[in-house]
Amino acid sequence: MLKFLAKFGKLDRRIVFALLLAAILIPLLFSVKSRFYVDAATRSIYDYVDHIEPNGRPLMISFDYDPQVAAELDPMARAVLRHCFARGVKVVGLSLAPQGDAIGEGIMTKVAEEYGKKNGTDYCYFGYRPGMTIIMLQMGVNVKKALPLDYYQTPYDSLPMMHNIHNYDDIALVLSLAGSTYPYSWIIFAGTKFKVKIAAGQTAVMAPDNYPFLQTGQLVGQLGGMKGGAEYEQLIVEAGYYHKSDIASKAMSAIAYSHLLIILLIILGNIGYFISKKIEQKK
Amino acid sequence: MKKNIPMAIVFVLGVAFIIQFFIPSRPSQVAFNTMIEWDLIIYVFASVIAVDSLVRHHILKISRKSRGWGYSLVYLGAAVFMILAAVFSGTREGSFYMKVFNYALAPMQATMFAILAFYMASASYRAFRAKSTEATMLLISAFIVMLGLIPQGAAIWSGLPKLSEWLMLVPNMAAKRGITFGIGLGITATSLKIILGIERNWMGGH
Repeated sequence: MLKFLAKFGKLDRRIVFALLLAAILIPLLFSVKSRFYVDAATRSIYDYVDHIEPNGRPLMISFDYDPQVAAELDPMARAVLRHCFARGVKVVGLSLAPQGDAIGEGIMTKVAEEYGKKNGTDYCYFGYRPGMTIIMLQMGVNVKKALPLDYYQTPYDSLPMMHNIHNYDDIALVLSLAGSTYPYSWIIFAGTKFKVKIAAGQTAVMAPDNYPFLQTGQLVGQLGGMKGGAEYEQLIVEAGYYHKSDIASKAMSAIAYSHLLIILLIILGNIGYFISKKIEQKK
Repeated sequence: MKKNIPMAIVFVLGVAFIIQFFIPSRPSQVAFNTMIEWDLIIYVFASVIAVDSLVRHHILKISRKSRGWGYSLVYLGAAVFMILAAVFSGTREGSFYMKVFNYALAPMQATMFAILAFYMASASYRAFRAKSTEATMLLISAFIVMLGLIPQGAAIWSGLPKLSEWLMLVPNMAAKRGITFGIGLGITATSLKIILGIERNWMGGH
């Protein structure tokens, strides 16, 4: 029996891979859904967006990420956009990461179509802007100079929605969706210097880095990983802004079961480790 | 001359913009606005140099048949292909360019990233051993955070998500704050070294 238990400390990694694959696939195939505890950082973004005046100052979404982290960040973008469009809040989109350009276009166009929103009037998308920190600083002085043409090459002055937007004073909130340190730069170059409100949507790996900025108020809130997206989806569905949960809520079930599996494997690994140690000591 | 002029420009502008940050007067604001516009122009030239250097590097690798030259060929081919796709089909949703992006590039990158989950699971199974008090504490906090993030955690004990949030907001934040201070001081020290001409690697030297 002890020898059998000791084997748990040295499981072949292919067994670990196969178990993890099953833990991810089964909940996805059977669409297992659950209710989530919404953490304070997610709720504060939701509350902030919920209080932006419809047809007033717009929310700016910066798609600062690549396709490799899109699975985690796309659901956040869709949920926040749905919240904005359902409430009549205007949205300005851009990207400071080269590949975020096409991601932003796809998401903004599709969500806008769901709500019958028009480009140029209800939302504007400017695509990729090279220069990162320079663009962040330039928008504090003159948005038109930083974003002279939109993604479809329409001049700034021909976009009715942008007529009253001169600098960050005319933006209600900047939400940076990123898998790296873009929100950090937004905090330094836009938030601290021009006092615009900043929020972040980060991958689960990056999210813990931002907690100090949540406490200081330099970040309004944060959506952390798939869970952040799932929580936001839950909030907009409960408030009646959207009729059903999206992919993050489904994917969270897969994440939940894979977490449980990893915990189980760690426990088994430790049992195996201690038993092997005991057997060796006896020898 | 080749070294002194760039160093003088860095010193003058570095000191001037440190002072500018603390003086919110109109001339200071005008100087700041002008500098940002210049930055954008410089950035465009820098991008051209970057593309030139990247293409040269790969062409050289291919022509010399250096180790891994095939990857360079794939890289250049893919880059040219995507540029042509964007030029001829446009970049709107539904275009050929967007189809290649959505159905080829995005899944490939997502797959690479997703594979990490398997290695992380295997690594945590092997590495998380309660060998010492510190390792046990790390193990327990990892369990609390992992369980706190998932609905089953709340089902086990309703206080678990709050405990997980507390771990992230207090002990995690204290550690992160210390690291952030360290990074901030490091950035300040490096910036001062560049402004004062002590650090000269940016000029291509050693």
